[in-house]
Amino acid sequence: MIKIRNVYKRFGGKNVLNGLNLDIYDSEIITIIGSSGQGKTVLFKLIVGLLKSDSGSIIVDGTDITRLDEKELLEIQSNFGMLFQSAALFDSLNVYDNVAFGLRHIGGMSEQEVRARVREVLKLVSLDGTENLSVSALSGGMKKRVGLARAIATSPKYLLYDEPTTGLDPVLAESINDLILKINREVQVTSIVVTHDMNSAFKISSRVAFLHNGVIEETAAPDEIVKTENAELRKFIASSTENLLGYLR
Amino acid sequence: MTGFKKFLYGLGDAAVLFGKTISVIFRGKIEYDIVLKQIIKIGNESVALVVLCGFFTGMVLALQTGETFVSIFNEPLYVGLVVSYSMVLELGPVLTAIVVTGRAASAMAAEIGTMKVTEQIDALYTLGTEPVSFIFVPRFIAFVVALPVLTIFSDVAGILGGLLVSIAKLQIPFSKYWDEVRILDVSDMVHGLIKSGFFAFIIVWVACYNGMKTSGGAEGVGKSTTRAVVVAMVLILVLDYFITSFLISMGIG
Repeated sequence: MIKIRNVYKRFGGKNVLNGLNLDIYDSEIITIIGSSGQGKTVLFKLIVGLLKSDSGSIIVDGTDITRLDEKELLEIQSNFGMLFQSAALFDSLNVYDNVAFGLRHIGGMSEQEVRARVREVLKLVSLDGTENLSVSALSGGMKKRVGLARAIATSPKYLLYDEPTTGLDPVLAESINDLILKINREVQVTSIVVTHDMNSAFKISSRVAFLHNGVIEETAAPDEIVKTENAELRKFIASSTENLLGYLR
Repeated sequence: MTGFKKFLYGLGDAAVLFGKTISVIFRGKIEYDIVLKQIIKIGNESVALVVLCGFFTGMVLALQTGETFVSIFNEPLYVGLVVSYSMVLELGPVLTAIVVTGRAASAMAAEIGTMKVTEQIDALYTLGTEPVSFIFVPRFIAFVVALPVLTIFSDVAGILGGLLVSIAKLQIPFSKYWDEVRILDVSDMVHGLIKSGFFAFIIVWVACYNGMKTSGGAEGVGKSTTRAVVVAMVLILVLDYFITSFLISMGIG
């Protein structure tokens, strides 16, 4: 379980997070939604320890990661798998070496075991047979899938997705949503998704958290959150869906 | 933040980066396959340029020296001596460092900068790896090994370039040129190679640091690459004097 308590983060004189509180429960898929520039990615990076908060605590399974030194933090970080917005695959390595990277550095596995695990996770993301492709030969959707395979290869406890469907066509975005659900079901992880894609949020989430003005203003299951009284959240949901509904009408 | 304060912060960050790099090397956490790849990459990218520049520098040195002595003493004296000493002690290490900075260090700063803006550096942390051990240490070792080797290539090319001009244009016999080259001793070679190792250290440190400090997308990558090249070249030329003074005072070369 992750407990975020009273977290503040400031960039260049601007408060991005203003005493944010959030609980993330084991095995759930929680989606953090909010407009661009509200600090979703900042929160995301704070949870993994890629950024340091100005104050407050982030407690991962009982350990406050804001108080750890670099070496201790690196150990905690190995509990996290992360799908970056740009997939962040290593250009200098092929698909196989990208997926094997974490296994070689964290695992203590033999190369044979690494090979078997790479095949297994590539199959899970429907990319078996692509081991020898270079990163530059992959499409946007394939990159996200390889990024996902790399993130789950080390069997992390927490899986974080930063805008997993951004920049993908609707069909591909839907397939990524299905993949997130499939992985959550089959790999038994806690998934934290940051997105402004409401379609994705409604489809995959156990709970949705609305980030606005540097705090989580509302947290609820998708069927509850649509009934919200929060004007900003209503506006956010409505503007995400009204064009489509207009056409459908 | 004022410019001076920024400079001090930058110096502090660069010092921390250096400390971490040394600590990883002493802990023995070295990715040897990446070191080898980097050595081959630096060599492939730079060897032809280094040899070409060294060869023509040797040629022009021989020409200038020969013509100057001819105009004063009516004879091309000490051409082999001037070319070989200039190349081995000074021009070989400095020119090689400048060429490698323009070719390999700029590519390295751009590569690390791109990794930074495309979140590949963040990805390393989540895959249980410190960027220092995956990125800096292999490049650091590769440069410290590759640059002295390239410097030897440059020295040899320069001496051969001088030989060509001496024989073809100044009518100096091969044996006379070669006898003067042979006056060079091991300590002269060591002098040049120590400088070369020190330049390698400056290049890789400046390129890695600027790459890591990249922000702001493609424009940021361009800026940090340019900054890395300019700072490394200036530092090489300025610190060359102080290293040379130090080595001479120690009786090396």
